[in-house]
Amino acid sequence: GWNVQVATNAFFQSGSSGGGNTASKSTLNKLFDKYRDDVANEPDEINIEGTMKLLEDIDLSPDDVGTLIFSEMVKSPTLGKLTRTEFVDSLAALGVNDITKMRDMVQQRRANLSDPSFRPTFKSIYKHTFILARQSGQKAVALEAATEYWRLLLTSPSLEWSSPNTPWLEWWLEFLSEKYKKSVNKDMWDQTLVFAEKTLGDEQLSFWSEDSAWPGVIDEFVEYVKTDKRAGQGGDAMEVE
Amino acid sequence: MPVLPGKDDIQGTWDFLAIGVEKIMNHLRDGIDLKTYMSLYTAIHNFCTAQKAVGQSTNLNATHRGAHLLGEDLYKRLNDYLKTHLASVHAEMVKHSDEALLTFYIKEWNRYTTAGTYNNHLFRYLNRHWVKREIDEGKKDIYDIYTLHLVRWKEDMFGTTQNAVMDAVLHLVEKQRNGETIEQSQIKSVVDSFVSLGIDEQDSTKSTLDVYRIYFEKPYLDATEKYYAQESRQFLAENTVVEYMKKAEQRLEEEKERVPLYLLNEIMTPLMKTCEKALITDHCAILRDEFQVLLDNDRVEDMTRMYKLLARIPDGLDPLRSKFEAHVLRAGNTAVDKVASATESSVDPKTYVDALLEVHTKYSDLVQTAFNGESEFVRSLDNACRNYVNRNAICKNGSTRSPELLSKHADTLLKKSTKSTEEDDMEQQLNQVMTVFKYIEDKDVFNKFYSKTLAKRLVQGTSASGDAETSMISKLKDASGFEYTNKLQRMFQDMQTSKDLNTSYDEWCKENLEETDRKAIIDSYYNVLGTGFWPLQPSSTPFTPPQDIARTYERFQSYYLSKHGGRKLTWLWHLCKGEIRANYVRMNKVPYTFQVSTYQMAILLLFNDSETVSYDEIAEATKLNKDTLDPSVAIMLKARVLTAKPEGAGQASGTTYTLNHGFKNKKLKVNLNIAIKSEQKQEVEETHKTIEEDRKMLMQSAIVRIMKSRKTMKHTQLVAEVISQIKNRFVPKVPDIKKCIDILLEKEYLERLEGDELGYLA
Repeated sequence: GWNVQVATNAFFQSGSSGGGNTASKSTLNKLFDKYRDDVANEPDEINIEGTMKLLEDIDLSPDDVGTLIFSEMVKSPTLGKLTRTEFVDSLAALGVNDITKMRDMVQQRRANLSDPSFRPTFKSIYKHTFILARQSGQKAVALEAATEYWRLLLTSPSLEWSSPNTPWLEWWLEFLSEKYKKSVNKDMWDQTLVFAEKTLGDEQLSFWSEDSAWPGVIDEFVEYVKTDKRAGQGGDAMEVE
Repeated sequence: MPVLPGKDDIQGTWDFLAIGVEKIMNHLRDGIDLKTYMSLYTAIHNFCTAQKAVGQSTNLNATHRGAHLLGEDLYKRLNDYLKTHLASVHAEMVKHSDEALLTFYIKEWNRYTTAGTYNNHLFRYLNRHWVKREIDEGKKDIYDIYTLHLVRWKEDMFGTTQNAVMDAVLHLVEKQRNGETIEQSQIKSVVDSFVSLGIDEQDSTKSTLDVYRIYFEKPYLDATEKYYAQESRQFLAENTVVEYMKKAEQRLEEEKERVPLYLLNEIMTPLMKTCEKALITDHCAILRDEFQVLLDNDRVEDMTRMYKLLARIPDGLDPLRSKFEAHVLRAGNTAVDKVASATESSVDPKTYVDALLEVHTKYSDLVQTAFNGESEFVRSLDNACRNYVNRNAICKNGSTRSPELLSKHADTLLKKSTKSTEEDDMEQQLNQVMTVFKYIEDKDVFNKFYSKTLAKRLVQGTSASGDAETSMISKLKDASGFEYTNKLQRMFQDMQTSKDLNTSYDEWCKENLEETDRKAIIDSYYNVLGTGFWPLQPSSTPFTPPQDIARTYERFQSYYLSKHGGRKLTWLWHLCKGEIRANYVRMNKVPYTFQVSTYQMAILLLFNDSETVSYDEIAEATKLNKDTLDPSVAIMLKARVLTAKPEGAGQASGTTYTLNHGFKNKKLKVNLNIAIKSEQKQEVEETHKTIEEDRKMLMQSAIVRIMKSRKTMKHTQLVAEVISQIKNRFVPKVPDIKKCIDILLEKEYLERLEGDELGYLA
């Protein structure tokens, strides 16, 4: 039968936010129009120049983690490109309809990056970064690019991937450049964050076992940590416990 | 003979009876006449049926119970009599000891129990009425007259004499164990006596073995354990373990044989357990220590004995099995080490396989003879063999060496050779190949090499026997399934189909070609082989076949394609061969025939047009690359079919070659089609390379197959399932499986779900 409660809630929610959406959407559309690069040929896109200008207007430089936060907010399909529908809909849903609010929201999110309660949004930003970083037509991200993004996302003020005795991110990037040397696929990208979170809670890696589902590259990294990085450190590690 | 007493006179009646009972008890041998017996019986009957003797009681039931009260009087008096009798016997009994005691005990027991049976008969009226009623009413301590005898003996005699009697019995047994002859029947009588005394308190018509168990069996077992503990300790101190095992075996046999002679069969199990503990369990450490010595010295008979002894005790064999396994493994590795050190670079497949087999055969025989073919030992043997077959000095760079060498060995067996192999012998040798095959972990590698060599045997027609080939394939199929041999079988089919095809092509030629035309084409035979089933590579060199050959094969090609439209024929020139008649050189007027590769044929045919041909002309005409051309020419130079100019020149631009008209050979048919060594080596390397790729594919398809049917699955479960599905092909490593999962995740066949689960994406 009907769940009246749910139905009514749905009605009021869609009704109330719908009205607001229309108003802010037209504002957002106008705002979008302002930054377009090639109005004639690409009326629904902002490309590299427009994007740079927009970033500048909200006080962001491309090598700032804020750029990644913003890109996730507007669901940018790739670096230096914004599309109308995603831009308008996403910002409308967030209740953001001008440059100031955009700037404020990015700043606010940046301040929250390392906050555990912010983790779901952080994960969303992290995952979106993979999409952003991909070259068009590619399924994987080149190791160099991935390295840069990890540096942005996994160091303070973002989530700092290191624990009292282990500079995890440093070791990870060192391992990748010395031993791995391949591109980074989506599974590896996603699982790296899962692994990072685990290591922050368990520096001794007792959560890891050879039989668990980690991608091969993470198994190899664990091996690398245990043999190359912690060889002979056994005693120290024990004392820490 | 006194007159019958009055029927209500208890004292009179008992006095009358006492004389008879006394006679039965003490003078039965003198006999008792029927008349006396009948009068005794009548006295009991009369007494029991008397209606009187109720005076003392005013009880309402008095009349009813009268007869019973009277019965009770008789019963009591008989009971008292037995007590008195046994007291006097007991007084006599304690004067004896040891064997004399046994003799006395048995004599008295026999006399007493015989009397008991008579008395039981005499008092049967009492039994039938008074005793029965008492028992029916649940009265305790009332028994039928015979049982009453036993009860009295048990209480007045047994309790105070059984110790001494058992001492005497055990002393006798010890004497017998020490080799003396004893009166066995005495022990048997004692056993019977003790058994008879097992009166069931609940139901005196039944008997139990309780008395026997407590007073005979237990002391008997205790004495046995003590005896053998003492004996075995002393024997081991003075003799070798091997001698001891013989002794123990003999003792166990003796004890077993002793049971039916004078013991109750019930004692067999506890007795054997007791002996086993004292003789085996208590010394099992020292026995097991000896096992390695026996193994080292191939002491089959002693190992058999040890196996039989230790098999009798719980968990007795486990340490033997692990020692055996370790020993076989060592033996296997030692055998391989010998082969490895004897051959520096290339290992002879036969020597290697023989070494593997020799160890297996030896210890397989040992399992059958000494260890009763027991499945646990077979398992230990299998473990050891699997271990040394796949991991040894020759396989140190990877377990794929064993399957490679084994399949090479099989190839040698199945190939035509100078010494022909008898059919039975062949079958046996193939079975031996299978014995090793069973242990091979990388069965996929064996298959790879086997199909390569099989393909060669078939294409080059070098197979020794079609029956042997078929037999081998069916063995492989039995061992590893249809899928494993599918391609091999398809190869045979292709050979048969080709045969039919050639027949029909010949007929077609006869019908459709002009006589002259037919004469002009080369006599030829074609094998059409399915690309998917044959492990054959296309030629590595370009090649322009000579005109004659081209005409011939083009005609066949058009015939074939007309029958099978849509197919594509690829010519594998490097596998083709032919014979060419050298009309310019003869032995006894018969021209020599050269057996050559197609490439050599193309080269030689050039000499039909010119006596002298240069290296560059050959290269130009045939289009063969240097790697193929040079060795082909080299062989003909070596065989002196061609001579080079300048003399001694090899294969290089600028050299010219001339036909050697002075060619001579012992045989009319000269084989110039000799495989090139370096090519073979390269082939092996390539085969190994393709194995890695094949394995990846096999693992990935197993993963996809499993996930397709399960939709979602825990990562660890998936890995375990993959291993179980392909372990009969090779033993996959977990990191390799994970890499395949990574690949499938990347290709989006799989997705990662919560909690280590993987999902299948259609």
